[in-house]
Amino acid sequence: MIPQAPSGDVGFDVAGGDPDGISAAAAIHSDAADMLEMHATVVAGAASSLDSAWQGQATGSYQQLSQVVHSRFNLAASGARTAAAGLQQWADELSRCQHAGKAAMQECEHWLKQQQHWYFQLQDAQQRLTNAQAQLTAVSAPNPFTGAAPATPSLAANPLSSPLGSLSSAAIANAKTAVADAEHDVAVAKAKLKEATEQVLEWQAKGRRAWDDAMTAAETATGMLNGIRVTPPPLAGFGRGEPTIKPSEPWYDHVLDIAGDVAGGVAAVAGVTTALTFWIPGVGEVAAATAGAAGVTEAGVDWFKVAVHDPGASVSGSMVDTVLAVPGAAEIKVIGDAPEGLASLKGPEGLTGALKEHPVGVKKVVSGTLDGVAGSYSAGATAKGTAETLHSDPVEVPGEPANASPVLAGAAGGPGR
Amino acid sequence: VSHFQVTPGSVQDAGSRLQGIAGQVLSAHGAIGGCSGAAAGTPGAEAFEGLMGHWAAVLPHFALSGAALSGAVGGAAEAYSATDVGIAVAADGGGKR
Repeated sequence: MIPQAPSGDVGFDVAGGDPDGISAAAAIHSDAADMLEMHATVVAGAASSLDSAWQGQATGSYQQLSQVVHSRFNLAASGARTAAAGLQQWADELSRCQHAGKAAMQECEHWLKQQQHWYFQLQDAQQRLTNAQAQLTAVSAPNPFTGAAPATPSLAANPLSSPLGSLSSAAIANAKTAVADAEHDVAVAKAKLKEATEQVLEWQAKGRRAWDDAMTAAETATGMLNGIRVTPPPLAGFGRGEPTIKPSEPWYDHVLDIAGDVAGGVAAVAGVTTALTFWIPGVGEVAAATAGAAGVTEAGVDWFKVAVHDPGASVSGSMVDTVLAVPGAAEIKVIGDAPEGLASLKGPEGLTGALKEHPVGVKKVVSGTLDGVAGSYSAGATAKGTAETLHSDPVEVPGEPANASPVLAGAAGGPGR
Repeated sequence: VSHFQVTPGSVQDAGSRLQGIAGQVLSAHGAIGGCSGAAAGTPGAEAFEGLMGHWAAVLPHFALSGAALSGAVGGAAEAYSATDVGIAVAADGGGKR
């Protein structure tokens, strides 16, 4: 039986992705883990060295904060270490699967060509066999005029005895040879086709196994990556009157440029490239910490607008393009006509508001607690209504900051907008 | 507070050691940000980008925390040093009188 014509399709794909890129990410996470561990040690070492050099109420607060920061750095290092190991494992497995898949693909393509070649060879040989068998039948048939059977090859041995007979026996012999040759070709083609088909099936199985292994590795990595949650350390020094942190980074000039646009004048008191803290005379201290670019874009007498951009930030599973962090903020007010832009954020401390597309302004700020969540109750109140609109979870409201001043604490309890 | 005891130089040293944290954490933040897209084309891409987003959100807090600790200690050291100097000046002045 002639098999179905081969499709020419290998029937599987090689797993996609960039194992080198994932491996590089693993190395970066490993470096980050080293760095975080080192800084955990630095924080602990500094606290330890201050033990005898600094005694009094302030040092107690510092030591307490330092312990928490140390522990958070260590936990983050552990998260980065886990990510590094998982990513490297994934990269290795993906690389192996891609190599195996490509090899299988190459072999499969080769054997598919063989399969097609021998399929057509078999068809050809079978046609020749059919023709040869028909020819043999024709030359072996009795003479339709005399009714005499054709001479057998043994009788044809003496050409003088029967010239016609000798011609006929030669034709039979030729036909028989053609049949035998065609039968041989059919057998060879069948064997080759069988071998090619088996090879195709074998390499297809290998290719599919490589694909499945790559999918399993990705699933394992997904579980590992989703399991990593790092809680950032509390932010010290917010909402504490006069600034104590001196600007020492190159970003300071840039911050001053931004701050120069702010009505009433703004002095940068603390922060780093993407985490800015401003002191606004008559308003208070405001910090915006985020992963993306941050800057004051507009300001009023008692508010300013901070636009921050973080395309990677995730709020309740949905992507947002802006996150506002205002540790110590009593009230987050939506600026403009798009209050629906404000969503709640169940994020790390200090992140109290999130936006889809629109900036928010800080109307008032109060003295906050050390961990920077002070005032989130008010932000929560604002966010709650809009979060319901957006079907996301509202901010958890921890309660009034312990050290908010009575006047400002009262102001903080007001409506969000 | 009825009592405190400070060696301003030691406090200053501790502040200096904490100073490097913010910059290095932000470097790591930038490096991790550069990994974005590395898992594109795989079923793990979403989880990978989720982790990158998570790092992007929290690492600035680590940087800020380091800067705040450093600033707090540095500020305390400066304040205590100023107090020491003030007391010394006052003591000298008192002696002269």
